[in-house]
Formats: sequence, structure tokens, C-alpha cells
Amino acid sequence: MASRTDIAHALRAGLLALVLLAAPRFAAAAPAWGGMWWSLGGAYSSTKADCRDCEEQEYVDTGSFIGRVGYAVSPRVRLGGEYTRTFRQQTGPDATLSTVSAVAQWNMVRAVPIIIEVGYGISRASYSVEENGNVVGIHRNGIALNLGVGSEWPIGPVAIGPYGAMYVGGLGDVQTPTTVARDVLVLSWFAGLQVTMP
Amino acid sequence: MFLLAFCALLAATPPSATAAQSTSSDTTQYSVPVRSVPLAVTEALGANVILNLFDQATHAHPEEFKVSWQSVWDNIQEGFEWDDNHFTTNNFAHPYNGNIFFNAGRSNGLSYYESMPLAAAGSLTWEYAGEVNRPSFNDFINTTVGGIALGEMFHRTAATIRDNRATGMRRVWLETAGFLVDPVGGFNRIFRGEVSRVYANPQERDPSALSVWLRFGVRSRGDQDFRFGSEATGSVTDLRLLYGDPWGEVKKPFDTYSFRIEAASADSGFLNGLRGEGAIVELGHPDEKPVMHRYLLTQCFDFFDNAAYQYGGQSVQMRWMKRWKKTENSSFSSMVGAQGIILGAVNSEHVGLTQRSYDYGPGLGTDVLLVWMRHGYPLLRGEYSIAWLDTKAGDNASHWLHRGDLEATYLFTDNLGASAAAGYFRRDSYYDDAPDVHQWSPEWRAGLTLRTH
Repeated sequence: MASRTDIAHALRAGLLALVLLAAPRFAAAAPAWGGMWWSLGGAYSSTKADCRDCEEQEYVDTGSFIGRVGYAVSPRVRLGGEYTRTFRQQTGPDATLSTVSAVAQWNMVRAVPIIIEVGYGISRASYSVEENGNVVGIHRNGIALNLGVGSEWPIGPVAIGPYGAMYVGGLGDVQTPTTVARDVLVLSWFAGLQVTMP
Repeated sequence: MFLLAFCALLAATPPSATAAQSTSSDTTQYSVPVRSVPLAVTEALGANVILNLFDQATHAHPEEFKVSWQSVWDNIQEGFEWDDNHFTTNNFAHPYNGNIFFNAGRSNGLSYYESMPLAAAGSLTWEYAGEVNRPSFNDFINTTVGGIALGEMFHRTAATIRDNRATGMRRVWLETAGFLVDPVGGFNRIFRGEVSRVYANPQERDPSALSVWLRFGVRSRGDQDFRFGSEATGSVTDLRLLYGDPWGEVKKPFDTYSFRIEAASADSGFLNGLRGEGAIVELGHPDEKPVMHRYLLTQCFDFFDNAAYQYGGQSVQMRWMKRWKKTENSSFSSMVGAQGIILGAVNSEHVGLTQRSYDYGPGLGTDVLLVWMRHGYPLLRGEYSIAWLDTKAGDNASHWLHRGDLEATYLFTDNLGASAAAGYFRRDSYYDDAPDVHQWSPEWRAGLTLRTH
């Protein structure tokens, strides 16, 4: 039987697909990219940590923030910097991921306002591990990779649109009180809305 | 194979005078490729389908490629992992595969920047839907970033080999050689009927300068006591391509790049070294003629497999260049680089995985290159590079890699000469939980040199 997390993922993926399929309707008014741009957004995010030979971990669902600023190098390509942070749960285990990355965005066909994003940078993850009944907090820096897809629909001077992304933090080995977690990766899925000043 | 590539470039290289005329004349003489995003996307994703079917038919474990909706969903749920494939597979085969995705874009009229997401999309779809195994974090980066660097170099190299104005058997040979260097581009040329049509060449065929060097001879690598035994002595072949004038204007990424590939009969692997570096953008073009100094942002691809270390890396580099012109026929130039290694792999003694014997991590690097040019060729060339990697997958370690090389070349004629060189490789690995490792290996090389330009 599908778990609650499975259903939440499926709902988010389905919503994102529907929104992206509807995106071309708004294409005619989409402005060509040029000059400086920025965007701010919020998202629902699911985060988990994984390591070599570890037991499968559960996703932790929280909110998240995203901010970007950059420059459009062509009508189809933007470069910039990005900051993201998943919020900490009020109760339960901690699983948060922050990233600072250089990003590139592409809108390959102007008539189809689907935007692809790839980024690379540094990450910081905080994770709580339960060992022998004690909850231990772990903090570690690493590399960050993100892959995203979204859209922008012009409304007045700004553009609003959905985006979905996957953020990965490669942390390396992490020492816990009793063992070493090898080759730790933190994975976080984002699905949300953003406001962009194109 | 190296000789074949050299011959193809020799046959395809236009005389210097012609090249100079072309670059200074009206650019409308160049053909402009037809732009098609749908075709580019279809080809990039189609390459994965073909590779999947090929693997299902030929791989020792075909069940790893029998994908289903369930396997894709499982991969999405489970997410990335670091994989443990062989060094050459992860650091050469995957970037080469990425070049196929990237060139699906370039050969369908997309620019360097526009083709980048195709390399990423091709890699991502393969990782999630091309095989049953969990998607690999290192494969995604190596395939995407390495594929972009190799792809642009192969795209432009193939463009210099092909000649749309050639006819007869010469055309057949050039198209065949171009196909081997850039298979997707070759496929599209067949698909669009361009292989047999006589028409203008693309602008990439007319770089501001072009020289190809083929060196073959003897190489010996010594042990840590600098003893050179017969078991580490054998033949070596080294092909270098210098595309574009390194002091010329960089209007588009890789308007100038250098590519070097080295293979030898006596070492840890047949393919010993592969290094490509292309200029992405110039940072502030100085207002001087001729240009005597400049700053470039470059993209690099590295693959080294020798007695001292294995190293594969994707990086970007800030490069400062300066030259001094002494006389009409003599000049001296220097290059200094500061490198950001996006992801590098270094062999390691304590990884403890079945296939993988190397660590992965980001890092930093620097290099210095000094060249004394006489009569238009590098009479004396010295370089030294240092790279540092911080492990994020494998052993907790810091790896320091050193590479030095001093090479003298003398050309008897415009195309034929001799060269001799001394080189040095060193690895210092500092482990958190295991003994440190220090390995080094000196080498010498000597042989004949062929040049076309």
C-alpha cells in the first residue's frame, strides 16, 4: 500500500505536470530575457539523507525558501546565483539543507515558457540521528547540485510561475557518536511558486 | 587511430593564406546550420533508447537495463548515490557519452549555451530511466560537464576536418573522419543530405589559427628511486590540436582551445592522458595591439592514468596570459591559472568497494605554463600544475597532485622535427583514518614530431 509520503509526492508531481502543460497558454505575453533579473519563491519540500550501506531513510516534509539574482546573457539563457533553505520541522527529526549555488537557466523555445535550471555550489546540511535513544544533531558542509524546471507567467511588471526542483548535497563521510556514515548525500525535492522580475 | 586523425586534419587543413583571407572577409560566406530544438531533444533522448537496447542485448547483466515505470519511480524516490564503476568508465566513457547529448544540440543549430541543458537532460534521463540502478551523482556531473567540454571540442574539430566544398574520394574520407570524431553531427549530415551537397562551410571550419602536432617515439617511466626499467619503457604517441589563436578575440566559447591525447604501450593504461581546455569568455579585452596580456575564463577536461596517479576532473579556470615579443621570430609567453574543480576523481588505497578504487570530491588547482616560441613554434615549453581534492565520496582524505613537464622541440622543416621531454607526476594523499600515501614517477620521452598548420 502506498505510504502517505508516496501519495504526497505523486500529488505534487501531478500538480506540477498540469501546471507546466498549461504554461504555453501564457506564452504570447512572455517578454524576452535581457539584463538583470531576480526571483523569490516558497515551496513545499521533502528532504532525506542517505549514505552508503545505510538503511532507507524517510522523507521529512517542510517548507522552503528560494532566492535568485543574475543576468540574462541571451534571450534564452540566464546566469546567476541562488540561495535556498529548507525550514526546520517544529517537531520530529531535523533534516534541513541550505545551498548557495551558481545557476544557469534556459528557455529553449520562447513559445513554450518552460524554464530549465541547473546549478552547482556549496551546501550545508543539518540532520538529527537517533542512536541508543539519544537524538544527535549533525552539521556538515559539502557540494550542492540542483536541477529544476518551472515556468513564468507575466502579471504586470513581474512574472509568477510554478517551479519544481531537486537539490542534492554531497557531504562526504559524517562522524556520528558511534559510527561513520559513509558518502552521505542529502536529497531535497521542492515544489512551489516563485515571483520573478524578468 | 592517432595517425588517421592526423592525416584527416592534414588533408582538411586549409593553407594558412586561405585561412587568413577567410577570417578577414565577409562572414556571409559561411553556412548557418538549420536550428531545430525538437530534433535536438529527440536525438539526445533517442541516444539513450539506442544505448539501453544495445546494453540489453550485449551487457553481461542485461537485467540492469530492463527498465519499467516502477524502476523509474523507485529511482526518483531513492535519489542519487555515488556509484562504484571503473575509473575509465566514470571518467572517460561517461563524459564521452555526454558529448553525444551535447552535440545533438550543436549539430541541430543550437549554440554552446543552448546545448548545455541537452547534456544535462540526456544524462538525467539515462540515470533515472536508462538503467534500473539508482541514479549516480558522479555520473550526472561527469556526463554533463565533461560532455559539454568534449562535445564542443569534437564539434569544432569535426568541422575543421569536413569540407563542404570537397568532392569525390576526398569528400568521402573527410566525411568518414568527421563522423568518427562527431558521430551525431555525422548522422545529421547524412539525415539532411549534407554529406554529398557542395555548399559553404560553417564558420567553425575557419578558426583564426589551427595547428596539429603528432609526436611518436619512446617513453620511459621511472620508479620512486628514479630507476628507469625496461618494463616501463615503450612506445608513446601524442596528438595535440591547437584550435584558434590563443591571443585572438574570443567571440564564442571555445573559439580557442587546446586538446591533447596521449597513449603508450607501457604504463597503467593504454590511454595515459587526455586534456582539453577551451576559452569560454574573455574578461576585459585590453585595448592594445598586439594583445600582450589577457584574462580568460576557461573550461577544462582532464583524464590522467599513470604510475603515480589516476585523475579525472571537470573544472573551470581563471587564466592570466602574458607575452613578451623579443624579436620578429622570437617571443616568450606565460600562463597562470586558478582552477575550480567541480568534481575530480583520484585513486585511493582504502576505498573498500568492489570496483571503485578512487575517491571523488571537489577541489582547487593552479598551473603555470612558460613557452619560448621560435619561428612560430614552441622551441621550449615548461609547465607545472598542482591540484587539491577534498574527498566527498570514498576515504576521508585530502589529495595533492603534482604534474611537471619540460619539453624541447626542434623543427627541421616546416612539418618535421624532433622533440625530447622530461616529466614528473606526484600524489600525496593524507587520510584521516589510514596511513598517508606518497607516490611519484618521473618520465622521459623522445621522438619525431609532425606538424601541420
